[in-house]
Amino acid sequence: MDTNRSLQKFLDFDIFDTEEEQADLFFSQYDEQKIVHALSKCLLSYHRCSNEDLEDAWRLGRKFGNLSNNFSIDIEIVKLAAKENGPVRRVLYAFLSGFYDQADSNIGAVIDLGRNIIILLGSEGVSKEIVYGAIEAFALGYLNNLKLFKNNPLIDKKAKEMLAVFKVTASEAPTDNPAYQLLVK
Amino acid sequence: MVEGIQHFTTGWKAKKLVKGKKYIWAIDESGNLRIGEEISVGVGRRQRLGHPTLVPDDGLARVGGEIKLPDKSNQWRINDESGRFSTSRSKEERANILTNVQTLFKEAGLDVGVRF
Repeated sequence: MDTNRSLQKFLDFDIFDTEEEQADLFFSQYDEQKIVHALSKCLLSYHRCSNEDLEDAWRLGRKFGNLSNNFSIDIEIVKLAAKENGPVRRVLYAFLSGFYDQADSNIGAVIDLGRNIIILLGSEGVSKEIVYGAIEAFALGYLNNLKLFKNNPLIDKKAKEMLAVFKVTASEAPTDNPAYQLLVK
Repeated sequence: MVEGIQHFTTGWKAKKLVKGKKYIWAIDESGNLRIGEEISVGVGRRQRLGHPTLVPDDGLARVGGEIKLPDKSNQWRINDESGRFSTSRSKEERANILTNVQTLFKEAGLDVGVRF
């Protein structure tokens, strides 16, 4: 099996049953660009956005969050989500939520995600589920990494301003929605 | 598919976990611990039916996760990797929940570690 197919197969199937140490070892054979490309392809294949797709994207995020090398994955997935227009964005934000559960965030990526949410809020016809999913990911990227943000006061100030805006949106979500649970509860 | 579901209320003891098998856990709406062996149902990304099958009435639970025996270890460890039941919590809240769940496992006779 060629290396690209082997990587794709690992992301599609094997990673869910692989311990972190083995996953680290497996990914060490590949350069970052190939991994990001294969991961993006894998996540975009979850385009039906069923509950299972969202759950698997979230689990995949956690798997990548647990790796010793996180490959600046959040930077790439935030960029990818900004380029996508369809419902698959929910899948990408579910991935980021799982990722930020475990990994330190790149604070620049969290701010970029915040900027993208502001654009979503000002756009017509964007599903509320996509907006709430993005807010959930932003909240986890910020709240789980407060120390990193505090070391950068200007960025922290910006993040707090964004959080205040998103809290208003989250307050309109159903009370069992993760965005509501994280920011309003 | 989940087999051999064990539902614990106060005083009940769990069966010993068997090396090589996969287990999942959930805390149901009443706060009781449920454990089951997870059996593959096919080939592919969705090989398992997972946590909703562990709890009654189409799967309402407070939190859930996996029970794993790490390589080179004799102690099983729990995590909160259930996409359906473990989202929307901060790291601190998750750590508190997992520590409380660890206590429920101990009460059921299983001395598990926690993987945060």
